[in-house]
Amino acid sequence: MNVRLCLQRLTAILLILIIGICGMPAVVLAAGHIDTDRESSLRVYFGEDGTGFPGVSFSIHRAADVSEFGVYTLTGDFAKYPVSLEDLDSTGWRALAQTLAAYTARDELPPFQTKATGQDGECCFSGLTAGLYLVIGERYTAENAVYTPEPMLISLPSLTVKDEWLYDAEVSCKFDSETILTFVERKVQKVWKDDGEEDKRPKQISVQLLENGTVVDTVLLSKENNWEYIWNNLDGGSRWQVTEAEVPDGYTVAITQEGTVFIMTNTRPSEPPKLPQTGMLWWPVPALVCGGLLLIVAGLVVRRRQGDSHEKKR
Amino acid sequence: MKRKGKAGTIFITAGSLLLAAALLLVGYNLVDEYRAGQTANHVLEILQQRMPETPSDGMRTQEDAAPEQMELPDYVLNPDMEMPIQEIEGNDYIGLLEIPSLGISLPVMSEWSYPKLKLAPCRYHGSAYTGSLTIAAHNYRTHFGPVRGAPAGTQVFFTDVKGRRFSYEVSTVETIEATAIEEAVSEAWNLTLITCTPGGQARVAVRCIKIE
Repeated sequence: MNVRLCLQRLTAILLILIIGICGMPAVVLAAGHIDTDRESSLRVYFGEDGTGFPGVSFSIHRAADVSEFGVYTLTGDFAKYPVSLEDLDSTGWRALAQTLAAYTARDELPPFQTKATGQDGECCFSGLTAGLYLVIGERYTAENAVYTPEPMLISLPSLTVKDEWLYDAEVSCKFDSETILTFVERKVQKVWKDDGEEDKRPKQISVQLLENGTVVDTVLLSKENNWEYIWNNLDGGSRWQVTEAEVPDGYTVAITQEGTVFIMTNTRPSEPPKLPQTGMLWWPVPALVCGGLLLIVAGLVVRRRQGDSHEKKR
Repeated sequence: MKRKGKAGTIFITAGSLLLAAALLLVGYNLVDEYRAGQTANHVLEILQQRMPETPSDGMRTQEDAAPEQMELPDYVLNPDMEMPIQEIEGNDYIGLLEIPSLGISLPVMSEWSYPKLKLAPCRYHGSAYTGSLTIAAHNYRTHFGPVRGAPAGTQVFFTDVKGRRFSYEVSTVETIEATAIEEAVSEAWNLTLITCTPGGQARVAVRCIKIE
């Protein structure tokens, strides 16, 4: 038990180091520029108590480009998803990985590479260009427990604690372990982060339930159901995820799973603050004068033509 | 036929209404500008009456004291101290700003808000004591309207309510984005005067450096 706890804590620390540090431009500057032409590799370990889980398939997707200054920009199929890469802490990066993993499954995005773990529970991806990679693993079943690897976002190269860029990274995969049940329950809860702009929320949003990557149900969340929904009697042998069918305009989405509950957060980035508006309202004056003169001239022309046609008839 | 006649009348009426709206807006702006100038002048008179004699550049000397006994002002010992205020008619003022060559002499409020900006220029950020003060004001001709035409070298003075006078000169006049808050409060300049461009979309930043 102690070994397991240690491993899980080490894994968490490693993830925080790899992912959290990526969001710190000041540290990035201290480490120097990234050589974006240099290839990287990633070794993934999936196991418990020093025993690796063999034959588990892991896929990686290149989700974002990285600049030589360590700035990420969503790329390829991922560029269309309304997620935010800004100001993320370790929890934010974890939520982003889960959100992108659900979209990847729903939209059946082709992976960049797929490898299976060996007897030691390890697999290695090589020939990777610099970027932010989404790592998704299949579930592993052993005796009465099922181990579900958490999706991860790994920056390649990664920044070490010594402020050096590491082009050949190693990561131990964090996972959830559950006893195999015949039926399970999943709940989705909507969280709004749009203080002061609540009036811009849609009246309802649509949530898709995915069973092993396939949409099997769609529900509407609104004030009437308190922005939450519970699915009962789901197959305990399947992997369940949720996605937001259409993210409201002006919002981003982040989904985290805490046990059996999916927390779907829609955030409305606040408008950047502005300096005081210290101008007088002069700009409408020329527009009003021009518009007024044009209309008067047009009116006079119309009247004149009317007068001419009267005279001709006489 | 009648329709054509009607259309002409409608056009002329609509055009006249637009001209009337333009005239009303011009009138409102001029009255607002005049009112802002009068209010600032009124406060300025009261502030000047309440302020002590102006010592040079904040360096307060004790009368009859020998040069070696010169007392350092408290703001030099502690530049982070709050700027003292003078309350006038419910508003707090930190001092007065003068640009003699542009005929500007205005009181400066301690904090900014839109109702306060209608009365006088307001401190947007910083302090004269720390060497980085940003003051914002409307571009009324009676407030900061003329500052965008200030040439480099124009002398600017800020006097706090204790009568300590700080001298600056204009180094450059820039146009910055309305969202460029960091630029507006840049510590690279000892004094920055902010107002809107004529269109109101961007901001004019008059950058000043302190002179001895």
